[in-house]
Amino acid sequence: MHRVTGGKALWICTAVFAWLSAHGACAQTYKSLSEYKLPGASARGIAVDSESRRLFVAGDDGITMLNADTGDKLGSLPLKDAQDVLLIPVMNGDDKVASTKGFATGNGTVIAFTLADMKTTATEKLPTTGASSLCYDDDTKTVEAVSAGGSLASIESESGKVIKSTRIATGSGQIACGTLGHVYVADTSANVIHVLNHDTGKNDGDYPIMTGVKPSGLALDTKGRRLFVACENGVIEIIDTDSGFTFIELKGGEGPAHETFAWTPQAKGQWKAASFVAQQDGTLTGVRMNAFINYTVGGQYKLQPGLGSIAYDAKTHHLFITATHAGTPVVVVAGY
Amino acid sequence: MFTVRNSERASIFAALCLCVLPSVQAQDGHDLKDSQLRGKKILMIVGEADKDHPNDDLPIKKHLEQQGYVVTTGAEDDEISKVAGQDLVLLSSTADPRVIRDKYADSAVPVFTWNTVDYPEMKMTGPERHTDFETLDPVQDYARAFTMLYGYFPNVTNPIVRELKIPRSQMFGTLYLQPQAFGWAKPAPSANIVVNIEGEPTHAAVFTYEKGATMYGGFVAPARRVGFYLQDATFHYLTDLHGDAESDPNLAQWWVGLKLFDSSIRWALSAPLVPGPYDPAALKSKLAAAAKGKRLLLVRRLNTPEGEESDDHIAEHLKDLGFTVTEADQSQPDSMANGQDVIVISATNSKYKMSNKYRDAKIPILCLEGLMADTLKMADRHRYIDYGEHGEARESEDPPEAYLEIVGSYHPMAAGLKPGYVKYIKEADVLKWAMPLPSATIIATLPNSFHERAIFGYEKGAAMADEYVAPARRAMLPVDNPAFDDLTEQGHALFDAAVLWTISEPTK
Repeated sequence: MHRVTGGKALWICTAVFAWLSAHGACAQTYKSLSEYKLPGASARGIAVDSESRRLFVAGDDGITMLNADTGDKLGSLPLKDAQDVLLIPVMNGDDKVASTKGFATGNGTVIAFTLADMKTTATEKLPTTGASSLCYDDDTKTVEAVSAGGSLASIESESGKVIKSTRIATGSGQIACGTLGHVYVADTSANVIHVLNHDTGKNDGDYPIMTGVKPSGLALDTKGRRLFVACENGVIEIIDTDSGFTFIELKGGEGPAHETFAWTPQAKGQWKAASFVAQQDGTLTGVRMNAFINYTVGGQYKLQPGLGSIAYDAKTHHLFITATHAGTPVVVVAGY
Repeated sequence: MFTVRNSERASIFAALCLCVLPSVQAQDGHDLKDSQLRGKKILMIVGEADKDHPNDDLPIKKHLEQQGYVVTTGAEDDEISKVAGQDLVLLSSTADPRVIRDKYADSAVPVFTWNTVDYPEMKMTGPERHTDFETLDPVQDYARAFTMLYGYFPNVTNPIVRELKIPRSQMFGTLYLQPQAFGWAKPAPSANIVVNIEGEPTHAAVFTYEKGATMYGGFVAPARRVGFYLQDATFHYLTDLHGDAESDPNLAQWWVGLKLFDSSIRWALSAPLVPGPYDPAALKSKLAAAAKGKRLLLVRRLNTPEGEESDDHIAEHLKDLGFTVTEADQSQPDSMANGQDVIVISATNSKYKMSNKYRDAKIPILCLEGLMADTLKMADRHRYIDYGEHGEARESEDPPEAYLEIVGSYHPMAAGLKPGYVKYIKEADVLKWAMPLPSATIIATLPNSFHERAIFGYEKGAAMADEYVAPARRAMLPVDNPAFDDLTEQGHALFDAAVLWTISEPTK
């Protein structure tokens, strides 16, 4: 029998560690780090401003602003049946700086508000009522509001005014703003992704879902033009948006899903990018980008049932996920 | 029972052929409408499902059923009798090729197979892995696997490709952005290569054999055969477009993997070409009917020391058929072709004096000189590799030859001759050959010289050498200097059949 000397063992351990590090096998394991309590009975959309360390949550009680590090309530904005909240990114050269303006939807309206004092600066009525979602088109500097009732409205981010709106078939799932005026909408009941064009107000076509059923979660990598679609039956599909072709299917959790996409979500040396999928059954799935043509499930973590909307904090690499704990809406802070 | 005399039979046949010709041309691929395809019975031979290695057999079955086909699955060890009553057999790569073996090779029912390893047993390729066929795995062959993301349509006039509305020969995406398992084959000369890959014209990703085509080892296809590049779990990677990309014509020509699969299935299910019987007299009548009123330019070397009489006889024969024949010397400019309907280039011409004349003619050309294959873009440029000759003293290692081997008996240029050897000239003599591109249709090769193709044609629009696109039909038939008078009866029939195909309307 061979014996391994102490020196050899140390060398082997070092080599194994180096190999594992190089191959990313030391990827982080996500767990629930803490919970922030929210007012009201439910939480829906969520957004974080990493620079100013503020967290915004839309719920039946309006928009609540929390300290992203402590969960302390910093302010609120009344908005009946708030559905979604969005922060307009601000750049200083290549560096992101604190946002100053936000948008929120609720009760068939879209409001613009200031983050500093949580004051409403504009209120616009959407063409249809019902749940509505927001995304930001950085090319046109417009906020796109999609109502599940069947409308698409473009709002100028500077003025907060609707500049174009149309009635059009939409869906109740997540939305994402893409390139060339496209707004992707997950239509859970029709089992497709609508490709709406806010420039023309028309549907440019639908992307079919392969084996997934009820697509609800949506996240877009605008550089790679990859659309990550999480379906309620546990299938995550990755679509090339230039062709509408699903080229990878992965296994996720189950139930309604929400997603967010992030570059280097675990800092340098780890994952290049990932789409994080939070699902109703409590599963958090990290869809890891290995290359623009290669994605795998980087990890799957059981947090707690009832996970909802998700936001990524680029400063701490934490994920903020809405959930319900003992009947109370909370924000779960997930990290490693 | 009634009998008809030969002359009557010839007339009746000629009349029938004239009536039938258009529909025969339409039959080269997809004469079946959707409504006719619905209800077609497909037997799909698959292997046992393996939960550790999921495959796409079920999605394929569902996909076909969605199009109205009635699909029955069978196992690799099922009796051949299960084919009875079916319209098409599919051989999945999941079925064990060592169990299937040659069970379906003799089947008179069309076979569509992506069981690459079974190609040799089906007589669709030779037996050598890596030489005659190959399966590639993206893990094992990672770097090479990237090359198979791009397929190439060598012939947009192919009926399968035509259905995809591809306007010109070009690349297309086969599988998606990441390499997937894949199979290719080097089929026999009579095959039509629909898609080739890896920059190798003879590495066919999709290829077909018409019923009656000569496959490997002299085996004659009992029905249509299709080889396709799929492997166990790659069907769902076949490219397809959705959303606004569908309206982009360039993308639509590029992302056609799934359409290619569907189109190939339809071709396999469509009626095969049915060649007429060998009847030189009827063929001559048919040619005479087609020649009437047509102006033919015979390009020859006037006052040649060799072949003068033969050229004269060619001219006389063509005039007898009804062509208005103009004769041009090799030294005259190619503007001689202006106002003509067809050009016949004699073997008495010197290649170097002819240079590239007539290459760009927008009218059909029948070339009788194999050594001109490269200048007319019918083959690449390496003498004795891309074109050459048998029996020329000091210029050829090969002995004189009198026979050709018919490998494309289904084709009108085969004159109804059966597959196999046919005596072409009375005495063994010089016979030229060329190695045309896969977009050419091969009718005959030299015996025992698989790659030396004697009679072949390019459809108008087909990609020729150097990506040159055939401006009109192009045909090659080797009739060396004095050989016209030495042609056998079969040889004359082949000559007439080549002329007839050359002047016939190209496939739309």
